[in-house]
Amino acid sequence: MIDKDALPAPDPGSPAPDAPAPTGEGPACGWCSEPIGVEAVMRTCASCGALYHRDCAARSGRCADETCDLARPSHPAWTIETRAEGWLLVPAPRPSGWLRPAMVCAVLPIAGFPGGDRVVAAGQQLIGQGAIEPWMLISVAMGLAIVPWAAVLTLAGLENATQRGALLDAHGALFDHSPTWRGARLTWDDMVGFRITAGGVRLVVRGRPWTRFVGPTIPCEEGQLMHQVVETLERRGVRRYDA
Amino acid sequence: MTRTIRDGVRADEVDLGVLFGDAWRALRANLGAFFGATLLATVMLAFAAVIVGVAMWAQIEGHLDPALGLAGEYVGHAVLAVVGQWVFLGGLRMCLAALRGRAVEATDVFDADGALVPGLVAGMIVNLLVGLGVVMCIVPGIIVGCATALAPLFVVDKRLTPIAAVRASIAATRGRRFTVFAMYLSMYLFVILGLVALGLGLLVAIPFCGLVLAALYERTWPVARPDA
Repeated sequence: MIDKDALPAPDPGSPAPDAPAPTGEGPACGWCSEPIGVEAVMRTCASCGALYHRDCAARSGRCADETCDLARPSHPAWTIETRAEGWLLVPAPRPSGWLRPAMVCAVLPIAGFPGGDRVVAAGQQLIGQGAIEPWMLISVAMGLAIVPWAAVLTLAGLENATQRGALLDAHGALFDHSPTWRGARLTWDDMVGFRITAGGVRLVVRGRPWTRFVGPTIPCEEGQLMHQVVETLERRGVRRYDA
Repeated sequence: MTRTIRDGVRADEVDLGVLFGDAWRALRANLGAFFGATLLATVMLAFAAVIVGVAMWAQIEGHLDPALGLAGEYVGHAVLAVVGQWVFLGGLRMCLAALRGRAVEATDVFDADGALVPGLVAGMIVNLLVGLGVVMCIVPGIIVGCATALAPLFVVDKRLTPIAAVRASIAATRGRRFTVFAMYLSMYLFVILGLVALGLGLLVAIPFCGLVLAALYERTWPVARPDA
């Protein structure tokens, strides 16, 4: 556990004590307001483009502009320069056309279930009238209760596996990462292999053999992006299963 | 305020006073909009409830065949659930906007912005988990309920899938579930007080509860893992 407040908070109004000495004219640092000088010591916020000294950026760990997404960054690589290497962002795909309607069809029977006592009362009435046999009622009730739940959970699992954006960085893959949410981490050690599927690159996770068939998928179509993803995975020693 | 990093989430020491303060400021700044939104949501829910009521009445009075009455009830409950979730998600979105200092209007309560289906599914999953927990002697259900309290907000705000939202909520509430529990207890208290005030107090109590939940979410912001 780290106490973040132990880090000295830079005061935007005064020069940081360990800020590099100005080496000439240039844009001012967003934290210490001193001229940055040369590009070698410059860091650029990946969201708003504000400029900082390398040391000021490293020490603060965030953008000085409170309205910027990266004022509370969800990833330590919050500047363009630190993202330059090993940072591959794969955006979330548009939800597939059939998934959401199918979810609605599965959800409505659960949402509409009138409650056990009402079903029992209506069933008893129907049985009393001789309209149906008891086994029919039990069968229908089981079907109405179990099938929609199974469908909802299956569809939610499918969406979770295939419809999430991913970020590949030095530590592994982050699903659902955004400037304001850290996402769910899968480290390089967790990945034992990958398979190319129609929906993208499916990761096979250590200790979860079913992920060969249904697993977290980096959504990308065949093309340059998929090539980059595969290249990154292979560089990290994740082997391809369907080669 | 003590700040520590735990499992990648900055766990600010969020006490109820802080949450109530945030919520009250946002409510006071947008009192008319929240009054209007609560009224609109109530009217919508009342319309949906009429379908259920008519189906039940017709069934009890013998005007409808039992199977047809049950089908009517089925449809009514489904409409009620969907409308309820719609205004709930729209309301949460409105609360977030108000807490972030943006102008809100009463009609924003109907703007779930595409989060309705994932929100419905997330709600189902949360209900299932809480139900399973309640079956196991109630306490696990309360713990699960507190752990998954932020799931709808993750769906509305971060556009996470239902399962990812539930998992995100579990991670975000880690270390502060007692605060969430205390928050829920105080929400019940506010709602009871609202009911005591001839029901009119609900016009304040309901948006206030939504704002308190949204304030908790707002104070759970992510930071980079220290080892990353």
